[in-house]
Amino acid sequence: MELKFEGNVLYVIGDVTEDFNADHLVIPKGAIIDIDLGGVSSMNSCGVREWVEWIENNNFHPTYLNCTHSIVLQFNMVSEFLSSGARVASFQVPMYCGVCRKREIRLLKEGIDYKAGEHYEMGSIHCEKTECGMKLNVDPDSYFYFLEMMQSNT
Amino acid sequence: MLDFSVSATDGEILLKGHLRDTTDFKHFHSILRENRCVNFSKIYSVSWLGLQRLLEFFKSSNIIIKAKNIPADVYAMCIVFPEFSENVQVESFEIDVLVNESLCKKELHDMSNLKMRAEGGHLFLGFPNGSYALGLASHVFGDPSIDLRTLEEKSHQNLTEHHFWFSYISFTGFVNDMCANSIKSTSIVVEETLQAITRLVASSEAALKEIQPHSGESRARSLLGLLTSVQKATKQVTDGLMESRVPYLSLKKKYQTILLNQRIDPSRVLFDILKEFSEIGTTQRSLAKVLDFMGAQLVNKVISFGEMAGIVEIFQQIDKNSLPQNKVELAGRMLFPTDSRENYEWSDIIGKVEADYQNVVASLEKCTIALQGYDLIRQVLEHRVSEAEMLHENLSSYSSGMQSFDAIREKMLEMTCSKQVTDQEKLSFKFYFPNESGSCSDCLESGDINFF
Repeated sequence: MELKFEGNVLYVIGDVTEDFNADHLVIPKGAIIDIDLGGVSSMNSCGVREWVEWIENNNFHPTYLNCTHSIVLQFNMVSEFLSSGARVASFQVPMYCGVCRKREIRLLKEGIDYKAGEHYEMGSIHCEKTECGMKLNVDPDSYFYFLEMMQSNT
Repeated sequence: MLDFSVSATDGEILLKGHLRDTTDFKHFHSILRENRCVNFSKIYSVSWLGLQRLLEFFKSSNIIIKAKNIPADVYAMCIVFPEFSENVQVESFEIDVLVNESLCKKELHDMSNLKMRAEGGHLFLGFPNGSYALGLASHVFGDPSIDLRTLEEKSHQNLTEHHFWFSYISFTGFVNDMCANSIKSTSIVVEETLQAITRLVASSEAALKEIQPHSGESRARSLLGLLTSVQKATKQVTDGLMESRVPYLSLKKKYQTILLNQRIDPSRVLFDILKEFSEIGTTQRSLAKVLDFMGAQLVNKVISFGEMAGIVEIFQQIDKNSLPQNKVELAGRMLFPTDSRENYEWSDIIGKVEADYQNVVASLEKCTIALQGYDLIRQVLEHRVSEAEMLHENLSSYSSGMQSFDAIREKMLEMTCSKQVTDQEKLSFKFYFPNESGSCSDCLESGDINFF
């Protein structure tokens, strides 16, 4: 796993596991930081525990960006992940078109596509073909569950 | 992704991750034949059963292992197992070093560099810079003969009496630590199992919705809600037990500081120490009650995770001949999200749903068994509470001299011996009271029942 802190954004790349250690990063306690999780290929339950502990111990207020499928699964299953005033600014949604036989990742953004604390239903999405049957490749009821559980910032 | 790995470099084996009850050592065998030095520094956590299985594995390999960089909490557990000293030669380990009455720090020491020093009546392990390891030297080394030599010298006033009470406080603190660790690892097993079940229910349900869009309320969503309440319950219990370790550790440090202080007669403060100890013990009563309540609550919640049976029944009632192929394919995509296949048959769908259900049933069984650990830990806590209460009741007659040390010691040992329900208690007792185990007629033998 690789961590890069550039311009107040922390980039996390690779697998987040029990080996997670960010002690070498110089980020002031209590900081409001943007964390880009678009490079996370997987996060296991031990990784989530290490992560949550790191966030809580440093009293960080994170805003998560580009969260991958693996991260969203953990948002839904480990409620503490989104405690400490965490925000999810954007997350990825896996899609599949049965007509085009094409897989795609769509990025949903807070304020544009969804609002924290509210039920979310995805409207129809098309690729370049009008007959496209692009659909979610996950169960919407459980995949978007965390959005409703998240505290609204407004 | 595995949470425990074994790798070999430069003739040394590195153990890394969380050693759990179910950790598999089968790939370890061939590595162990070629490398005998095992580095423990990257072991983040150990469960009792996981450690027991590792030590049995070492034993079965018929090789004397050289162990280095053993973390303090792992070493404290290792040393209690008789198999450890039989099969493992310790090269270096982390020691809790007493800095002052309220502070300890961890230091890594080579076993060959450790020398006994005379101060403190030979009870403690001292270092050249004047600091001491926390705990009796016999407990640090796992060698009761150190105490025998010391006690024969009788160089310290009432040495036997202090030795007994310090050992008893150490035993109680250690058992409490084991309870906290057990609850923590049980909670992890329960949470992860329920997460895996939720994922299976969600994918089956998503597949069902592709075939029958109006198939009722989302079970996966209700399980996600339930998961949060399970996490809250396990956290409450785990945090409670973790916090309860602090006063025992503080008292142990305080007692050792007094025993090491040549200017204070420890007998003058012994009863204050025991009073404080009995008060800590009795406050554990409420924790045992919480554990009892939470254990029952969790079992009820876990049972709800068996709801997938309803989804399987609906799948089994579907008339496959009336299903359009595109619906079968969409259902397949939900059940096999990472599969690159394009076409699915109904047999793929029903086969996967039924297999997932079997996994759910097996996982729930595993979870229910794990939750029995809550009840055992409650019993262990209650034993210590009863002992603390007995001490509290007898303390005034003991301090006034109306009751002798031998009489109260006998009462305490009888209580402790007669109520050992877990391997943790049995082996810990034998370790902290190596000369007393034989005197307990009701004492269960270690290994009779392997609970955790």
